[in-house]
Amino acid sequence: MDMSFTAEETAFRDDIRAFLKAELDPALARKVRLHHDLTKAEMEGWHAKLQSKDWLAGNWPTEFGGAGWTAIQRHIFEEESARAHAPRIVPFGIAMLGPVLQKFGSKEQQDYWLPRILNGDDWWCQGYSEPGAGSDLASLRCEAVRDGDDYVVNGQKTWTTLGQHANMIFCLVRTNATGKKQEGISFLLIDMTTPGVSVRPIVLLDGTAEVNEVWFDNVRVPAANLVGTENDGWTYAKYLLTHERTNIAGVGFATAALDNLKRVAKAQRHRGQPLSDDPLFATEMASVEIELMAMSTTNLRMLSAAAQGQAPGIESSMLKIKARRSASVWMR
Amino acid sequence: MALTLEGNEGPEGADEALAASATWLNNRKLSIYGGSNEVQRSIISGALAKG
Amino acid sequence: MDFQLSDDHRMLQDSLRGILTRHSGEALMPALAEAGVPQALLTEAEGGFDGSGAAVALIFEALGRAGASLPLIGTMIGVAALAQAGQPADDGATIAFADAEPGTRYDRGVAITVDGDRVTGRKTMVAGAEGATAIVVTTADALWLVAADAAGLTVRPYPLMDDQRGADLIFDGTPATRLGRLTDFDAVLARGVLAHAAYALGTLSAAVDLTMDYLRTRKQFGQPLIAFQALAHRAADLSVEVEQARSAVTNFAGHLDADAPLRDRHLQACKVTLGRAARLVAEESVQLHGGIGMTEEYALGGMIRRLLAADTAMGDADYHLERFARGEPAFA
Repeated sequence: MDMSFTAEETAFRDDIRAFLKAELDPALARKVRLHHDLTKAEMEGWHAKLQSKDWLAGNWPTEFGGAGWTAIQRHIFEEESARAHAPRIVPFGIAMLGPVLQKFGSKEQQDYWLPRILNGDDWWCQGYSEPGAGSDLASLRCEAVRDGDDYVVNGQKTWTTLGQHANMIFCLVRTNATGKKQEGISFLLIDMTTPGVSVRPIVLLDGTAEVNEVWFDNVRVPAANLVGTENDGWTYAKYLLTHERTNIAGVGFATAALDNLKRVAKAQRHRGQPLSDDPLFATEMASVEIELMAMSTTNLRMLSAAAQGQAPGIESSMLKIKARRSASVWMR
Repeated sequence: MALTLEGNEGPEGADEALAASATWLNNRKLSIYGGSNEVQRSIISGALAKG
Repeated sequence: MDFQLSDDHRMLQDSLRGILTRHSGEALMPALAEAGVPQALLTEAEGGFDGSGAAVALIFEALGRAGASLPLIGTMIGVAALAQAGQPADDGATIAFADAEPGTRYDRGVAITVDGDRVTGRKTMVAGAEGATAIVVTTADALWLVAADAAGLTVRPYPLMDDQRGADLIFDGTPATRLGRLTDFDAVLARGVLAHAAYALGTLSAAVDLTMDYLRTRKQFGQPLIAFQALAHRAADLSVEVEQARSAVTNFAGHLDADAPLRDRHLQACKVTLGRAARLVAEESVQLHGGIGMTEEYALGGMIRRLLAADTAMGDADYHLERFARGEPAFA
């Protein structure tokens, strides 16, 4: 057991830091720090800068154009990026669809779609939830009916994050309404510029409109856009969700928030003293920091175990539960 | 409600506080999306049930 | 960074598990001694062969898991402190560590005072004091050695909550040898804290495992308890907190030899995390069991008493949280 970084890991961290210092525009970092909405161009610009170093897809194997980083390297990248207030990598293509295509997609699909994700040719969004299918996702009803070389899609998706920027959406659709509900779902890639697709924003309680409703009205989708086997989509969806969740603990972002909080608490005054010296406040902040210290290691232990072949199973569920706690640092 | 202010229109020195409030509000999603935390607990306990 | 045990440590763990399955009660300590376990807690300079954070953590976690209540920690601290002070302990010495004082919440030097090379006052809940060959005593700012048969020393034994024998020690102008300043021995004392924390980790893991077994097998309303969501979700939360506790011990063990400020942050975070996890596990595991969890004959009761005792050893969660919040060293 060794809790210190190896020489290679330290060098890697220094590379990341140098890159962030040179390439991250302070005005953009300020927007990220203050939780302002970023424009599509700002997000794409950051992706392009990362891709110029082949660092956009840290989680992808090199054979698909990824960086092939270890769990520790990914942790370092995420923590350094978050602490520098770099834009978050939009996850839908890189973190979600990419691993699914690499595992279940055809050679043709991999050759066509994966480079387009890296190059920013496509902006992907995720078509999972429906108004009647939230926690009970497998009860989804948006249907795709085979018609010649196409599927015809009708239905509605919701909570589609950043769908307003997307030209592509990966969808879970119902291709069989009989039998067990999990066994009639397929994984379909849909061009959002096809006639019959419409998108409407949902304004959230923080005033932002990052999520959307998406409707499909007789949308024709080439059957070549089916990933894997018809009616096996639930398997791919579960695979995607566990991959999504290995980054879901949000340790880097919580660490950045804690840095921020410490700075603010030094400047703010309470009873004539810095707020950071107030015993009650300092103790609350210490509690959060201590929980975060353990969580950072829980996250790393689980990522390391996953990297050694143990598929993320309940560990990713554990991390997701703790994410809510780590995020509480924002309101201390 | 202009929680995500552009520029300087807002109470003096309130950038950080607004950012914290907005982020906290936005972070309510963390325990809902991708399978709510209650769904995750059912997944964990389902595995525990098998021993 | 690497979370795997070294080959040596894996062998140590295997041999320890074997001993703990085959031996218990009076026979356990000789078996551990024959296998060299006490020497694994000490560095070469102290007459042992390891003394690393990883070794200390894995040994005491295993002892905690097995429910072995042994006064090993006092001997570990005592032998290491004597070696550092240049007054090596006799072979086979068993040393009690007298730290807690009556009437104060973990302050030192309140109930005990020093006059020249004589100590006067009281120490309380000293594990293993009856059979000890020597006693290492903390005062306000120093560490002292007192012979077990020293004049003016009264030992008032009683059973401790964790099934060990303990005692109040009453010093009345008792001759003592000053080993040095408390802060000079911070690394040795930190090792003691790690031992208590790792012991708590083993204990709470065992308590959660026992609870899970019970939830799987006990039936009510025609179903195993784990089938009831109100119980299942609490069980899930417990399993998450066990992982957090493990991470906190990993962090501290991995930084036992780090520079004092960093080591002490991890020490304090570890005690806070374990103290809180222990309390949660104690309360939840009894509740999830129901009435049987309240009985003396069921194994859970002893685990819970050992958990409570481990929290109070060398400063409880609140004590270390406050020092963490104030940025104070662990020992001063």
